[in-house]
Amino acid sequence: MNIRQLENIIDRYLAGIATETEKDFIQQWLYQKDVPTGNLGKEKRNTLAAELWLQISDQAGIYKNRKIKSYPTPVFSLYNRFFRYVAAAFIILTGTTIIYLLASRNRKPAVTYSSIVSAAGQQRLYILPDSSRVYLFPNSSLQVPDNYGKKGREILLKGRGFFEVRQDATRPFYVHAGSLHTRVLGTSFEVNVADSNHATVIVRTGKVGIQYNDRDLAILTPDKRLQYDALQLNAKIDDVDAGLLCEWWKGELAFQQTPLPDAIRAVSDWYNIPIHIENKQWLSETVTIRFKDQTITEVMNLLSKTIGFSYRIQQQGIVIY
Amino acid sequence: MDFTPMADTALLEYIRKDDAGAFRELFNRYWERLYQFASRRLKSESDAKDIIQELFIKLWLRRTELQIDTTVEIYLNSIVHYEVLSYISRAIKDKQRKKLVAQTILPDFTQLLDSLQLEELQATVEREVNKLPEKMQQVYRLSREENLSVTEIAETLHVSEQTVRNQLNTAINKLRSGLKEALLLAIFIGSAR
Repeated sequence: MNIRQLENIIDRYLAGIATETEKDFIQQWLYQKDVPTGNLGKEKRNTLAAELWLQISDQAGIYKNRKIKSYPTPVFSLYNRFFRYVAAAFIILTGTTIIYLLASRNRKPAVTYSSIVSAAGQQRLYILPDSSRVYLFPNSSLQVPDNYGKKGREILLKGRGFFEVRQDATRPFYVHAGSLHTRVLGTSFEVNVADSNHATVIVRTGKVGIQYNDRDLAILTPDKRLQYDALQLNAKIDDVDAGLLCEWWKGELAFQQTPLPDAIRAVSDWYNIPIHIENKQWLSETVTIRFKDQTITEVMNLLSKTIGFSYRIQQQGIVIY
Repeated sequence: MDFTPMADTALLEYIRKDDAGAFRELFNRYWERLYQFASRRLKSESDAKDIIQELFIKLWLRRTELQIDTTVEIYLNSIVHYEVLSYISRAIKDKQRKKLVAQTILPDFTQLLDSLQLEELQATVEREVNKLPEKMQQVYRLSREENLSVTEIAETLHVSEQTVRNQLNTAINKLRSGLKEALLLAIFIGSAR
């Protein structure tokens, strides 16, 4: 079989004029049992879903006032009418009675993204086109679609960021971070995704809706913190001083009943020094403490006194034991 | 509103009324299997992405006109089937992409055709063998299916070796003329190669 013959069969099939054997052949191909390759994997699935949804909601204008004005109304040219007929014939042939109308094929260029990265040891402020502000914690990154704000407001976050979102009831603001999706209309809040399994959201003002893995997790109000552990499927909401915790971008690093591993990671990113917790007994500790303009040695001394751990400074970084 | 426990048909009602949340839920339920299907058939993740995007975009744009008489799943499957096939058709008509299709997608079809033809051929041979007289059939099967030698067959059946040889020759001649006709019918896509 050559490419020409394949083209012929497919076209005849789509046009509904294939012979029984040809139909059978195409359907065998369509319905063949696939070697189970398993799921996509959590990480990939979530990124892909977010990416697809972003494109779909953008190009279909889903969040744009419900009325699609910007999208060209399909012109039913001869070409289109032909394909509508073809589609209908195709569907009838396959044994279902479905009328599937095709939209015009004018494909818009794919959305491209700008990446904003903050290096370890450096925080960064980024102002979005709608003048919403994003403060990136050291060692974090942001992806902003180039058409941000045109149809919707969605961005992708890795790491930790504090957001001051400009009020716009018609265009919800979405932060996608791995499996965690945060939706707001206009507020300020922080999202912190340690890895694919741990996430924290703190709300400073307004209301924030949170989804994890496409399930609604919580709606947070000001001074509430959600800590989510995907491994334990455990969501914990507690009261915090959001003003304090979210003001690291003013140079003050604060922790309030924060799990020690989270605090240590923040310190590590902040000072750009690898810190390893060797003694597992410290992993379950929490810490409440504030730092401002202190050196890493001062910070480690304070931490070790508060928690009671010892640490040593090595060539590769700091080890807590 | 929480759409997660809602049945597909109920979701559709909301989607028809422009509810983006319901549409998102429909997307959540189905995108992955549609995507997996498309990427396996097209051997390309980016082409699969294109197809899934377009499919859902159209679905939304046509939400008020949707008429689904079957289940949503069957409906979406038939759309993705259609889209995948027309994607291939368009790719073949595109000079630059034609070669890639020949390298990636065509082999699957060829392989499928080969196995179908082999099955068909075996079935045809079997039908023709069944038409042979009983004794002749026995000799033929011992020779071709059990791989016995002429001497062994003669011993097994208590006949002379010459009889076995004669029977075999006649069997093969009969099959040859029978198959010639049958094969012309069996190869269903003209000259398949």
